[in-house]
Amino acid sequence: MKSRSFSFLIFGSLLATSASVHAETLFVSNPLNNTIVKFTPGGVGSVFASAGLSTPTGIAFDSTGNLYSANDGNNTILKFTPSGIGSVFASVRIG
Amino acid sequence: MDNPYGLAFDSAGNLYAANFNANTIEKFTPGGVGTVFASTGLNQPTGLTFDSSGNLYAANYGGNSIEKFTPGGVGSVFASSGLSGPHGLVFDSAGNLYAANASNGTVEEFTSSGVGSLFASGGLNQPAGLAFDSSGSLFVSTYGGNTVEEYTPGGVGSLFANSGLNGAHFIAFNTTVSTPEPGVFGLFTGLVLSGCVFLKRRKRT
Repeated sequence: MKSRSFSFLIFGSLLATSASVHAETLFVSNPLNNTIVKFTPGGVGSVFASAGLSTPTGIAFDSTGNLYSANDGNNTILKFTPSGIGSVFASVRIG
Repeated sequence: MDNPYGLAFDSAGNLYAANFNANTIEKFTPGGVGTVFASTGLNQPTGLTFDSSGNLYAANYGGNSIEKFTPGGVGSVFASSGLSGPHGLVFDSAGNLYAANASNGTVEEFTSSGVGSLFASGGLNQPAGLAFDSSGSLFVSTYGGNTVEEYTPGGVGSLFANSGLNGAHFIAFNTTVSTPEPGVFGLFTGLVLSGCVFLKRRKRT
């Protein structure tokens, strides 16, 4: 009985581990067609965001999984939720 | 902002942006309030990244150098050799810094003390963005080639993706996504089943 409960725990942990590895997604900014695309670990791509982007350059994630995109074309930083909904995070020139 | 390029978060959640044309780095609070963090030692800054001690590194595309800033914003030259149009920057888990040289198609690796060596060359058409996955493979986007290449820790490269890219620029892994439902479900199921077995055993004794 003890070994069965252990095996259930191990089974669950393995599922959890494999799922979190598969969540690793690569995002790429495309300044020449104003998109941000994402790739699965297997290299399958799809468009993540295109609205509001103007020559997107730098991208970075905050600790809660929001994606920030620097836009060379219109001097803004946009914030995208994990589901791809965008809003302007900063646009004022200060430096 | 003035032609913002690279972005990086510090451990406190502040966002830093390199202003390519203004030669400044701006710092934004999580609420979006900006101030100038640095305005010296910068020459067309592109990529930004932090080391584990909270120092900020900026690639100077125009100056072929990497500038290092303390958390207080005091700058110094970290490296000025082995660089040719440096763009993306990233640290590996051992504290080595990698720079994508857009102008000569190489990736240079630097020790924490700034000693450089060639990590990858050949087949890279204007390398721009760099990012490590959790297994220690380095991904390199190529602006001119519209590809993403993947390198093993030993420096062996292979094509990762070449579709849907148009001026492939900065790249980033989303490693902050919480474990999705199947994993949580699996763990939950395991715990519940284990609990059932435990209770069943207790009842018998």
